[in-house]
Amino acid sequence: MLNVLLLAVLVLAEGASDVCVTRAMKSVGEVNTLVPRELLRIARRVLATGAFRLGLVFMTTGFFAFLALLARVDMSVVVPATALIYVVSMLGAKYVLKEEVSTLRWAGTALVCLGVVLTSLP
Amino acid sequence: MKSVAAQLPDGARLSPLLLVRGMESPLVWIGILLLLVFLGLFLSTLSREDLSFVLPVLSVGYILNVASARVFLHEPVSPVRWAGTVFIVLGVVMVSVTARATSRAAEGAAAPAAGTGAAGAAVAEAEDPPC
Repeated sequence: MLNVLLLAVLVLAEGASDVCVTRAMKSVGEVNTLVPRELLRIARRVLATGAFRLGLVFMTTGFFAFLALLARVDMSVVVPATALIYVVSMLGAKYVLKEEVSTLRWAGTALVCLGVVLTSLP
Repeated sequence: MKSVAAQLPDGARLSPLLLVRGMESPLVWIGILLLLVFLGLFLSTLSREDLSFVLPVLSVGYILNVASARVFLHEPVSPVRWAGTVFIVLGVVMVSVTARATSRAAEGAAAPAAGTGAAGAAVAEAEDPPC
């Protein structure tokens, strides 16, 4: 039961962090450079966005839930189970970020989720 | 984390103690370093592509994970799990065919008609949008 709870925290937190971080990166603009100074400047701008900071909080929460799960369950069960994050993140991408998700993309994602469920079976 | 947990009494397996002790393990720190590398690349990709495209494609990592759990951690991997990885591969292939970012599609199709593309509007939103 505790494992399920930990997984729920992990999935919801990571999904929320994906949405927040995407928001932040889209607001900063495309990264088109490999010049270290430019990258540093971009990194500073990213760090300044509230969306990224919120995403970081969610990401950290998810990471610690992941660590706790790894200590209790096999890695080859935990890692596939985290694919539930797709469900949350895809819904966030569609309804929060307003991305156009084509039928093919949904179908592919459904296959990925199915694969993840299969990989999670003992 | 497995080796750290093994050193603790059963009751302490979900205590903050586990997380603190985990920080002492160099393997955890290597993991954190790799996560930072991942984060940098992930963010750069997200600045250019849709989240709904990047995520499924990232799941190629799951296959590496199952394989490395088998090879390095010697965890048993059943045929059903291997079948699952095949589904993941198929799904990723299908998603990667749709590689056209909503924001770029909007740029190309409706750049002059400001705000027509949903993503264009999302990008144009306030610098610091609530999440």
